[in-house]
Amino acid sequence: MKNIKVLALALAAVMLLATLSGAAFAEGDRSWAEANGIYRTDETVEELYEQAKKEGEVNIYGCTGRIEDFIPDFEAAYPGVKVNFYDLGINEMLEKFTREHAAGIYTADVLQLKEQTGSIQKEYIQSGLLYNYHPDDIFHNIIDPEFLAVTPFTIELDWWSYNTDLYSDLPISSWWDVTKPEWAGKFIFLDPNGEPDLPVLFACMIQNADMMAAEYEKVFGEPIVLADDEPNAGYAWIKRMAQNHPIIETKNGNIVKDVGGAPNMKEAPIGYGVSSKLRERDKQDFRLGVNPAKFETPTTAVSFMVAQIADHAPHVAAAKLFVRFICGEADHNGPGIVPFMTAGSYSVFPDAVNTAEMPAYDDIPKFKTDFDFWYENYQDISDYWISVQP
Amino acid sequence: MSVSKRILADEGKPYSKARKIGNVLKNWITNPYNVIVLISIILLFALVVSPLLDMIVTTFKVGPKDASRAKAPVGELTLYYWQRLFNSMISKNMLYKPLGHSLLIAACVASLSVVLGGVFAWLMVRSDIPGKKWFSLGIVIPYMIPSWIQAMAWIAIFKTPAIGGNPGFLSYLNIVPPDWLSYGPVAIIIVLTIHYYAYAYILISGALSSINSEMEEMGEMLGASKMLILRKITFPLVMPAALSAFILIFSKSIGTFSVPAYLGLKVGYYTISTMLYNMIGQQQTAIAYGISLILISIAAILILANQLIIGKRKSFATIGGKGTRSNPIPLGKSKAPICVVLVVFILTCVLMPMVLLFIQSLMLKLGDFSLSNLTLHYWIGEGISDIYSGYPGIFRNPMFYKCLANSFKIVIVASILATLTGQIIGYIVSRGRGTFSGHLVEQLAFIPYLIPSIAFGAMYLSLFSVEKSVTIFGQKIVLFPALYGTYALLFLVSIVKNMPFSSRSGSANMLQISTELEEAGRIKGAGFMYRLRKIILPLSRSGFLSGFLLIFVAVFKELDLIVLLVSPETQTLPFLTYSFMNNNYEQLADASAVLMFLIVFFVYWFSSKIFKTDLTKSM
Repeated sequence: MKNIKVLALALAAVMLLATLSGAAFAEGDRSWAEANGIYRTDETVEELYEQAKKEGEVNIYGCTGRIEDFIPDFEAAYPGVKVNFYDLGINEMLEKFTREHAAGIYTADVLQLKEQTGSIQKEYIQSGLLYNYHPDDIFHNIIDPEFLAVTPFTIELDWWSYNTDLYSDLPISSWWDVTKPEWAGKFIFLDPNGEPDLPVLFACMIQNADMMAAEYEKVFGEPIVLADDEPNAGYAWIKRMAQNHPIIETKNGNIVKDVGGAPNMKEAPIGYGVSSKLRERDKQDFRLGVNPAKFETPTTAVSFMVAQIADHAPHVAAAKLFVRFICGEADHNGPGIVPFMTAGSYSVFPDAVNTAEMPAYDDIPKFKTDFDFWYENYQDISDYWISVQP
Repeated sequence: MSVSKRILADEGKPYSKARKIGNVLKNWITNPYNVIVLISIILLFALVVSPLLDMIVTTFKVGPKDASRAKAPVGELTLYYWQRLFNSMISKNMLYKPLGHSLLIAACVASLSVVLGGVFAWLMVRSDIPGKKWFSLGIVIPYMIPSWIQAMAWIAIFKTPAIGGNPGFLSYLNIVPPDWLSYGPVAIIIVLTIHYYAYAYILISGALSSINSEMEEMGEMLGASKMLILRKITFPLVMPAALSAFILIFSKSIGTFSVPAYLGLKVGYYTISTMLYNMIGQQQTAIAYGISLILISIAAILILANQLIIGKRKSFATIGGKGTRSNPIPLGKSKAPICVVLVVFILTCVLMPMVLLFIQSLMLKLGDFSLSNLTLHYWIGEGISDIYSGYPGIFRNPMFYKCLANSFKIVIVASILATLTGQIIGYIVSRGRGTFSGHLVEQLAFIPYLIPSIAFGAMYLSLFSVEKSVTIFGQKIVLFPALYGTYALLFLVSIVKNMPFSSRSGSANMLQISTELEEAGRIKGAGFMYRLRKIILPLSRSGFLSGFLLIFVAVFKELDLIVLLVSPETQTLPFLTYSFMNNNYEQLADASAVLMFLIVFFVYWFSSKIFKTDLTKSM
């Protein structure tokens, strides 16, 4: 009896606390951006540099070490503007930034991260936590104006890699191949619980279930028979793949390492991961081959590397200079974009030069990403993945 | 006037109730013990209970992302998250199965560690095994290495071709280990046991060495056999230490993330901690907190059980007024084989991982074990743009020196303060045994252990990112200052998170000091401070230094806890190592891991030489 009383009291206390601390979310307050000229896109580099010199530094939260490659170039181009680079994972970065922002601690000027799910646009840009900065001379020329929902500078895709010492071509030609017994335990995916790459792909497949069903028939010669817990052919693929013992890696870097990270491997799985890691083929002599066009169905969703200016950025002019720099300045070939113009990365600017050997962007069959569909379904999709684990 | 009147009045009725209450109150307040208890309880509530409450509240409130699914507005009370955890399509794979895995791992690791650590402890403390100095040094080495580095080493040895990538050492020698050994529960249990047995060893040998061998000799005099003595005298005396080792290791391995992540995720083997980490990563904070709370409850039940067992026994004051003397027990014929087993164990389980990581750090390309592949590039080389984005060897990397300096700054301040608080709490717990306040303090101090480091870091980030204050009578009182981005926050979080450790160490230290000694002082009229200065502190000095060393090592290798709290200005060495790993700069990570180990080892060796500290006397 006494225990019940205590429990009831504790519950009451919890409830009271809960009602007292209601969440308050800023709904797209853009007054700071207006007042600080975030939307001004006509300033010249010289004008920005004059102000940036007074600011003295710029704080970058980034998700790729490649930024470090061009920091010396930036500091040489704009003497007196020091770059402080914080190398963070995307989730960590957003967590840190949101908490700092809520606490009124404004450190970040630019957040460089990846837009895969529409969350940057829907949760951060629309609510006024992050801003787009599209200077006219840089963004007048972009391969798809729809990309301007964010401030992108490169496109990243996902694709299958195979070991070129062991195979002369990609050894599978359909999504359904990895559900076959002969591929059990021999294919790698990026952990869907940690990174959004795979859940986004799942969403695309569920949305294009008819296509997946037709593809099934082509591969197995008979129409797909769905089990009770397989609402459509997209779900069926997820479940059957999950039960065919995929190797799950938490980092894209590990996927390419597993596939072709050493010479003369006697055995190697195939791996599905981010396209930009193909650069390890050129940099570290990894034995990597790709052939996304071998699939007749789409093989990837489209995602972007973006550079967004933070709300209440303490160094606005320097932040703008940084965004310009990472886009390669007006001719899209400056030192800021060079570290990104490696095998497997595609610039959003048609005139940016990338000499690496890789499949042409237009030849790669891509899913049309539907962020609204993703938004309505991602939790169910991720739940489904968890529930079908063997 | 009023004073004299009152005295007169008091003299009139000397045993009045009011006077009695007044005296009791006065005694209570002027007793420094009570004041310390009070302050400790207040601080513990603020630093431990309030973040915990915050966690509980979060799990009952609709978060900003879940309004549509929970069918309630943001901030509304809801059972949605608990329902999702316990009774939904994902419960089996998100909660029950991983929890089963975790319990299995924790139970195996804790039992194996206690057995292994106990045997080693007995050999080192009680037996006449030769070369104790070297053996005991070798045995505690795993404690100096973060467990994720041991997992790195495990993969370097046992990696199979099926997973791909550069071959593991055994595969290179054409011995292909079976997959179940390379990854999954067996690998996790072995690696964690090789790490955690050192904790059990430290705890149990501490208890063993404080046992006066007179007790055993008494048994011998009365004609008891060796086994009987072991069973009836030695075991009961080390039981509290073995049990608390079991609990520490159990709750540590149930909450550990990096080892199951390295060795389990690849083959889809989830534990509750990797699931928890995922949920934090997906910003499903409420679910993550829910899982943490389940972990906390499990550990709480364990502690309760422990207290029921130990509480019933008499206290084990083993430092008596008389000098201690210890006669080693001869091993006889089995001495040589035992030595061989020990040497093999230390070579393969303790030294080989570090040596292998060192060799890897010398390999230009991983997996190629030929001589021509050796290089010092990752130690002293200048950056070459084709290798690892042009990162220079660690000794040429200014970041390395900065992280090194930061690590030392944090670890020294935090360990001193943590040890001090630990001894104070230990005093309260040991002297307040059986009292409500003693129990309360002990339990409060243990809570941080149950909260997974990463969640703890997140909690502190939200607790200290903005100043929280109340205004009373126009006087502003700051409850929680804004500490985000400062070293102070890192100090604080390290101190509080290590409190269970430091307070265990403190109470073990204090429990050994028999209250008789203090009582003797009291009879002679010594005040609290005098007793503290002349009796408690001198007797606990070596325990204090050893406790310091214990925390030093723990803080130095800490990663999960601070990963959300560091800013570029406050990055530490483990953080740097981990980011090397994350970026796949494995050899750089290896080099910096080896250096981390060498630093800890040197500090350990140095302090045991100069200050005669002994980790085994620390808990």
